[in-house]
Amino acid sequence: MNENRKQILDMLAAGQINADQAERLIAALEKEPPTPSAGDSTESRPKAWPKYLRVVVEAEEGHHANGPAKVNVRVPIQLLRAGVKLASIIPPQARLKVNDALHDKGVELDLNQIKPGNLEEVIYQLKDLTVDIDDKNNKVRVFCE
Amino acid sequence: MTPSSYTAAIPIRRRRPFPLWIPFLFVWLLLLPFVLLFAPLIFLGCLLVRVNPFRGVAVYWQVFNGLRGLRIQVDDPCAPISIRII
Repeated sequence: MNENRKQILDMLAAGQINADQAERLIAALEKEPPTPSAGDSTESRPKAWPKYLRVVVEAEEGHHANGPAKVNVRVPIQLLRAGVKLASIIPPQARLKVNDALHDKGVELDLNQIKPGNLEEVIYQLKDLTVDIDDKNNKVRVFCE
Repeated sequence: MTPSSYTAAIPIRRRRPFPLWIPFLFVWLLLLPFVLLFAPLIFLGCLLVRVNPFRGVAVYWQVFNGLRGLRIQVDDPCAPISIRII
């Protein structure tokens, strides 16, 4: 017997709830999606949303006279979300100017099109993102975790 | 969740990095009088640029909250830098 169902029946037997309440609780239990058991394969489970965007840069000794250098940056995804919201409160006049400046630099990005709803989709896709750049002296990795 | 502290170790003039730990509660207490003083100006400024001041404050608060977990670490023999927001 399901553990939750047994608990409800025990509560009913102990007189803590009446039959009507027990029935409602059992009905609510049946509506709940089944929780994945420990034996489930990891492939069948949906991947968790990424929490951080990581940028790792490793410069080898040959490139820098003073030894190898390493840069490790971890940016919370929550900050990206807030940044997009920040873009949405930019005054329309300023937004036009930013769009023009981006266009002049060759970046075809319209700030009016960036909306928090669109960002959620991008963030969800980011979980599979990995950028690896292997140069002679430097290694750059961009990924989400 | 709101960040609680800022930790940084930045070398100044090629000296050994000096670790710095700042609890945000302390910063809030320091900033509170200025915020109260400038609140009407911020409110008017928002209205001038046609931005809902409450929404503006909410968004900036979200940006601040989003900083929790930020980590910048540069392991360079010349200039090791470490910044963490917890």
